Amino acid sequence: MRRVETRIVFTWLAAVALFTFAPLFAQQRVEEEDLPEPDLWEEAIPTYVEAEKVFNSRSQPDSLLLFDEFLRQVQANRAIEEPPDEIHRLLANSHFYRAQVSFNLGRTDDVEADLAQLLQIEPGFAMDRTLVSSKFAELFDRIKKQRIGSAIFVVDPPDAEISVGRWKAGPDGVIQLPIGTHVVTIERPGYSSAEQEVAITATDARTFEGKLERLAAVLTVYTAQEDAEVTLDGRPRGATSPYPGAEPSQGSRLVLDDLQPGTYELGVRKEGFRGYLARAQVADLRDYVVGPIELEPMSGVVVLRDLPPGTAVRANGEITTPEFAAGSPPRLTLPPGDYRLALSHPDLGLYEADVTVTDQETETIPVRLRPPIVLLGVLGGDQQSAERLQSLLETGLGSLERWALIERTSVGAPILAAAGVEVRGLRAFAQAGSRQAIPWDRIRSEADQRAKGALYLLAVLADDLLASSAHVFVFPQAPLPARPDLIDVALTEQDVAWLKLLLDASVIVERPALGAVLVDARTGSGPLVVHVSEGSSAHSSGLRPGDEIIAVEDTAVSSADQVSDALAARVESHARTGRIVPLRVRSIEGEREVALGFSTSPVILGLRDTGVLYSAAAYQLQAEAQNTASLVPKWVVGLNQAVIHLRGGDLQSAIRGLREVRAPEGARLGQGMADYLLGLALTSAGGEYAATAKEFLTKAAADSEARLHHADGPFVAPRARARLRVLN
Amino acid sequence: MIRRALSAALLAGGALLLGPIVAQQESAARRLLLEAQRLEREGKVDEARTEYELLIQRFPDEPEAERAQLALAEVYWEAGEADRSRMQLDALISSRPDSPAAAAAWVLRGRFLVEQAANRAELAEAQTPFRRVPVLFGAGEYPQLGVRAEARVRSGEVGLLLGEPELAALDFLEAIEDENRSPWRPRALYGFARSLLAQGYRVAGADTLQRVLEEPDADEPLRRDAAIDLAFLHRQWIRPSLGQPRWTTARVVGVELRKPQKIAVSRDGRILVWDDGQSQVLLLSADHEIVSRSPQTQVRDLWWSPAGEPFVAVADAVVGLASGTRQQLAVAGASVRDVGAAATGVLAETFVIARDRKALIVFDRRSGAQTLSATAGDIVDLAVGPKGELLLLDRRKSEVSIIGLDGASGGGFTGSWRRPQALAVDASGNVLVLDGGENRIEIRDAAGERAGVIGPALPGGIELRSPEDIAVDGAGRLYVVDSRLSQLIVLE
Repeated sequence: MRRVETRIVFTWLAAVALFTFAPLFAQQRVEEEDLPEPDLWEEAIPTYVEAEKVFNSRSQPDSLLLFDEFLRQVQANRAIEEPPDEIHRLLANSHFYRAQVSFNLGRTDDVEADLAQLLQIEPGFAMDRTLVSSKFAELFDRIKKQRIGSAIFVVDPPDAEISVGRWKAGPDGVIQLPIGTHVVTIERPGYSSAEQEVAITATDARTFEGKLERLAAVLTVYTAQEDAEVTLDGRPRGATSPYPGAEPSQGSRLVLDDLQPGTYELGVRKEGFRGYLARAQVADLRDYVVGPIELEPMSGVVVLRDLPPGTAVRANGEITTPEFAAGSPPRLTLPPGDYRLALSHPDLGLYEADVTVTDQETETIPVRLRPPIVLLGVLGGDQQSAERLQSLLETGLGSLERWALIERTSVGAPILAAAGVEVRGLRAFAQAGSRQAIPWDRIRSEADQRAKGALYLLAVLADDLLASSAHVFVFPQAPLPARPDLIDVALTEQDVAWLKLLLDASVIVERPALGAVLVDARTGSGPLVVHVSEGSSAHSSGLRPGDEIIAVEDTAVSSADQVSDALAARVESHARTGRIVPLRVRSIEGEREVALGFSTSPVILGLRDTGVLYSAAAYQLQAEAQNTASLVPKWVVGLNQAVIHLRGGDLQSAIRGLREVRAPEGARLGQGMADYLLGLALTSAGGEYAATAKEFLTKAAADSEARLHHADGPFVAPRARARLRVLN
Repeated sequence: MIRRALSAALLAGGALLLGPIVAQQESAARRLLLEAQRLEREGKVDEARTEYELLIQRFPDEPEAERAQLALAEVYWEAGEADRSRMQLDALISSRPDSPAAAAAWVLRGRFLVEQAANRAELAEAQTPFRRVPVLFGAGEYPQLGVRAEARVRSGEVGLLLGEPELAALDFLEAIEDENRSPWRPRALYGFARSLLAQGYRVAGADTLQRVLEEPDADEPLRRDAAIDLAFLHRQWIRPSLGQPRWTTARVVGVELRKPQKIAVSRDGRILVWDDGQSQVLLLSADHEIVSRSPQTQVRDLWWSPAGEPFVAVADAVVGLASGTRQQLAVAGASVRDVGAAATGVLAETFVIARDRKALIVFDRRSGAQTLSATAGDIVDLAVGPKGELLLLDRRKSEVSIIGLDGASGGGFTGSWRRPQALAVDASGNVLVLDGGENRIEIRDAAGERAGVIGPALPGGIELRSPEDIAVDGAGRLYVVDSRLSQLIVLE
């Protein structure tokens, strides 16, 4: 089984998308369907049905025209092909009904004509006498007696078929035929056939005898499925079909009547089903029966590993229910073929994969649902550039790790129109920082309604005539802050790749925490330690102000950046194991080695980070906050969320969140930052909160070791003191 | 390259939405603007001005007109037509008060006022337009307005000049934390670091300076400034705090000198030396390579302006070595004939000690002259401190006196020097006084307290014999010229 994981997700992935566009799909499907050639006789049947319906109503005479029309259609078609038996039956019925109508109207000539034609078509026609008047029955009997006679055949073997064309004898050997001379055929599979000329008269029923010679064995192959191809010794012998008198549930059959004694390899096959192969022993010239053979449908299994409960699964657009067996992951059993599996979960997002299912093979797909990011369109007059950027975005963002991209470019313009925003307004907002207020809440609300996604991406070309760049707005679903991230993107793969990096960036990260302020003073050969925080790993390892770091684990360093990089490169290998990093340092006392105990610190978003898309971060953090199994400290999530609320101007949420944050007291990164942010938020909240703001900023200003964003981040205290100036 | 939307570019499109006629007009306006900018770039200022004026006249309602008005104001300013420049800015501000271009006009007006300010009061007045921008164009209404960050940074920089580091810190901080990332961020960080250092927050200041170095958008001059400040902090703070001397080594610069008398060093370490023996002024690079030699006799003083330009004072004039300009000194029509010392202040004013008049005279940037003190006959040297203050060394009184940027006396201190003959001030306000009688240099901190002495013996065995002048650079290196040793010595 071959599986191709789909990383490009631009079609109708989302459940919402499928729902919204279902009617369109249905229409498309009908248009594209290959319709079969029209059946001449099928088209005539509705006329008959309608005529029969009218016949059974109060306006019975009106049925005459309809039966006439049916008979006319049949007559016309007869020029093209001979009617099947079913049509003959309807023809006979039509004449029978017409005769009844004419009888009721007193048109005796017409009655006789119809009954005569009826018997010409169906000499053995038998009517339900309870449904007709006795006079009509008498008339029918009279006409039949005048036109139809019968013969009795006694044949060996007794189950041989006695027929004249489509007229057949009953089990008692009696065959009814129009008066005259007929050639009767006697035949049976495996036997010779015989013909007998018989003269039918109105007065008596003569008896005839016949005997057929056995020529071959007969093998009747029954299959549960219709149209199964039968082979003998590898040679095709025909396909099974429903046989007269059998219900569809009884299957189909193929009679092979030319077998001589011997051993045969019997094969049965049908597309989509596993083949059947058996040895058939024909001992002598008798009748043999095989079956019914029930062919097993071909199927492969797709195991959906880590499929969260409540996930809707569609295979090529059709809702498919996975099988859940105790102790094993959910699985789909599908006929062989190529499938696009689209999985959607109302909270966890989407996943899509292309799978080729092969019979009797199992493929496992690790399901990783990703929240949908909806591309709302590239707007602007330069159509060529718009198409280019859209193509770049679809290609470049198709392989996002964290998000499933959904292309809904048709809704971008309607969303703006509904929100009362013009493209030029967005452009002016982005380019000149104009005063024009953009109703982001309304835009977002429209997007939530028309193309529900976790995140939205809307691009506006920088120019209508000749655009080489675009302003890309990214905003999250409600109720996250509606304020968008704005990124200017040149119409290049590199810029779109950078946008992808931003979207995929994780907001929950850790960095090494040294606990020392290093500066590149250019007074020595390595970075200079100008401050060591008490209780930090730098402090406990004996690093002191005035030390110059000259090597990290035997690698010479000449800048603080290089020290950071060297430590960052050891996060994976050292952070969890508490390993030591040897530092070579130089001071006025000479060189020495310092054993630095490796430690890390969470990173909290800055208010103005360029390497972060706050919209994407907001969504990530929301999911993290709801993840009860997460090991990430709640205060880290809470502080990050507060930063996002502050940046988005949602002071109320920021303040509420910060008041609930229980960050570590006395740590370099912790309560000091929370107090500072709370002071900032309260300062912005207005004069009535000034006293409280002052209280928190004063507290932050007193924490001389508190840092922002990271344990080695900027000092909180001087910033808090500066902010206090506003309040003082 | 991905950029945040920063600039106040007014070339917003939308032509297709306005129909073909308007589109044609916009296109013409844009063409005119591009043409004017091209002419300006090529130095054809008059022609550019004509194009800008035409654009404003023909397409007054187009966004390009606002940009043209800004450009025109700048062109007028460069041409010395301050009134016409101001008229353009006023017109823009009054006709489109809500436009982002008006915010840019406020900033431009502030910049011009700063360039024009001749005293502290004018400097304070120049800060007002900058402060007005965040008030009139708040982040709530103009979230993407890039020029607001510039206004905050420029306001902070003026605040530092005014000696208000706490207020300046707030300006810089708001530019860092309350504004979108912009090219002004590195400069805001640097300003914030300087304001922290000015308030005595050395650790946080050093930490912030280091962050300037790590800013990807910081330009090279800014990185150099930050690195210089960090080196200074190492010498003037870390070493003394560990009980080490500020200068641990002394070395002789390998330039042949006969009788060096005067020295001045720029913030970034470029050196001016007057060698009386060779009757020339030598200009050395920061790597101590000779860049130029200028024949000069009777040199009275050498100095570097805050903008980094070298100057030489002779008996009756000041010579700008970079520009080649010579300013004959005269007060009320009467020439100054015996200059003793001179320096350039932070407002580009020139302070001169006129020995023939026994006066301290200041020549401002508008060519105005004013006598600050009429009893300055014994002033032998002067220097400009980090807050823009002027320090004067009086030989007879054995005193250093200070005049603040506002012209008021800012105190001073006395010393028991045998022959005080030269003065230098470092970046944190430490004052170094060369005592020629004792062949040593005394260090006083910014409060005037004695903070150390160096000499006659220097680290490495060099002994001063006849030191004539001293200087410090931005990184805190101390430079001494000794006429008997015929040497220029650098202490690092």
